[in-house]
Amino acid sequence: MNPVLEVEDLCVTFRYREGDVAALRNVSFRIDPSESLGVVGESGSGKSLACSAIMGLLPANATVTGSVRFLGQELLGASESTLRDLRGRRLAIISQDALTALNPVHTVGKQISEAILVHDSSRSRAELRDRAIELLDLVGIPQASARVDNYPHEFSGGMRQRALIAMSVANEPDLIIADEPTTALDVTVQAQVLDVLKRIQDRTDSALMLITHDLGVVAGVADRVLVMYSGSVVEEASVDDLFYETSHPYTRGLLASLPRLDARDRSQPLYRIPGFQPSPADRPAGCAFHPRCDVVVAGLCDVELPLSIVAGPGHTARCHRVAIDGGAS
Amino acid sequence: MTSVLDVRDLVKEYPVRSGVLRRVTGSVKAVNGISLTLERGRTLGLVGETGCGKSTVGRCLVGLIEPTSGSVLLDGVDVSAMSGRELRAARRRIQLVFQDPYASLDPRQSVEAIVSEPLRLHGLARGSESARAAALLDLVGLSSSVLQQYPHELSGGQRQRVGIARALALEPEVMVLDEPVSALDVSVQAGILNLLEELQRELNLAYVFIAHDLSVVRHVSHEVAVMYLGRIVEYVDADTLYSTPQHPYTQALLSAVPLPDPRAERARKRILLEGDLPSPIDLPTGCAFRSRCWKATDVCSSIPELRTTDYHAFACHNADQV
Repeated sequence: MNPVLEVEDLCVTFRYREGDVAALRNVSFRIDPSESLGVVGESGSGKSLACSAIMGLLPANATVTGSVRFLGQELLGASESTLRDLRGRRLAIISQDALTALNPVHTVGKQISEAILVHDSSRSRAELRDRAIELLDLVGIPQASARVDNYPHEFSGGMRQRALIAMSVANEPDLIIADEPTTALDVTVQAQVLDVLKRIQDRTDSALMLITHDLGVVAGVADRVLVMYSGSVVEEASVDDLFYETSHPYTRGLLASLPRLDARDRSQPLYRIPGFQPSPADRPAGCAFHPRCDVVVAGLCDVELPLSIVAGPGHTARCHRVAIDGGAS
Repeated sequence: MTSVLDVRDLVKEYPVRSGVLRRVTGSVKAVNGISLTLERGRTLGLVGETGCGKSTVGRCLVGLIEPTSGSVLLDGVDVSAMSGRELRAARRRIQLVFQDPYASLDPRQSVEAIVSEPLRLHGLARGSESARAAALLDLVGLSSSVLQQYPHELSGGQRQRVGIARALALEPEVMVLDEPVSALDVSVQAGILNLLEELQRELNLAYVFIAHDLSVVRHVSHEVAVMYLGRIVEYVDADTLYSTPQHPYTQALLSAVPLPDPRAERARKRILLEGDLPSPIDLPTGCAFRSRCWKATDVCSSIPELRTTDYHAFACHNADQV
């Protein structure tokens, strides 16, 4: 099966007067058709940056190396017109903040129609309007035929996010990249939006790359998961392996530090990963996680950058300890 | 045992203005008759979604906003009836920690100035403010080297610790924590939650913990009150709330929380609520939740009372136990 997206050794370096900062380091992964890939990490881990690099939306002081192949076509270095043709048609993005993503002076229907029109000018106005209504209905907006003429401010937060989903899937893309699509929403609304996203994906057979900081969302939505830390992918696994056969000490720490709704014993304090995630400008030598790691190997982890070690089928972790212990601990 | 904090029938109304003359044409009850009780050394979780009034309750408790009616009692003494010196003394006993550690600290003040400001304002620890500030930082797990730093030099977790140290400066008995960890990453959040629990044990503090994250609330709370559009719809000890929620809104809320457990997620049946939160200006008559409730019947056109059976209070005509 040909992957929808294949990212290899993606590196992003920012040039500052003080020197170069390697913000993203050798990120490699693939997404297969109709697969859901979750990308988790804390703020500053590089998860949103990876998404911007794939979309070709980086500022001028960023240097990108490596390879991003979308449906077999190289995106890095591709012309702006090629990218423009792909974005919004085969490759869609849903951003976190639906209020700023929508244009306040145009109706929701007009903005959805425009997303279609940009890539297909053959449709009549009536057809576009019908399609916009159909899409709004699909994402669960009540009375879509009336709501299509509303402006974004007349929509609630959850409805705006759904309108954004409607817009992004208007051209039945091969890949939807959703960057924290439910972070600003209340849980009951989040549940509605994730449900819509899942139904749409089933219907259109799109692949999904879901970027989030919420391990609960990942557990419910993703088939496979990447865990990012300080600009690198530190663990990649199927969703079950990630949660039940966790390999990387950072992932283990994250899971242990979560307060659980389903916890039996609340008398124990939460696990706290000591220290802080380093800024990309002053990463420690060796493994970036080693100063915080509870199974650090002195003389190795603080010297040598760990490679991606196979911990099981389809399961890798960038950790010397995994190499020493031989797979899942 | 007397409760350290008692809230009785708290109401906060805001006027609604419209037209070119901005005439008052109605009112919104952001908080609509809320009663709470809190004992020393205990945590009361106040949960609900955006716009339910939970932060307004918090602000009324510490006196940042004046309630329209109702009373706040500290150790049985009504704070709302106090004024002048008496009120200032009472205010010391109940302090607030804000949500956003980036916005709630003055960027032009050093950490020392921030933490000792309440001491100066209340004329406490005269002459030994900096020693006291250092002791407070130690209490929240920060070294005294932070004293001369400014907020922008600190991480989010460190800032929130400074915010907690500032709230502790006046040795309060009650702390109102308004979304204290929602701006933080999980690994940092764990440190703050552990710190709050330690402080509670050491200082016998009572917490009103306001949050939208039900997993966090479950972790820290002894009792939980669930709010919906200005009213408490369910109020019970944390274990009962999470094991046998009675109000349909609580049930929907709990079922919507994503669990970090893929197998449990797949096995789960979610209650997906229809529609959106109604506007507080234009509430449904009767039970405010009935426009989204799958259990709603004709009886819901009257407002359900918050009734208590076996220490479990809920406001629903059609709850399972009824």
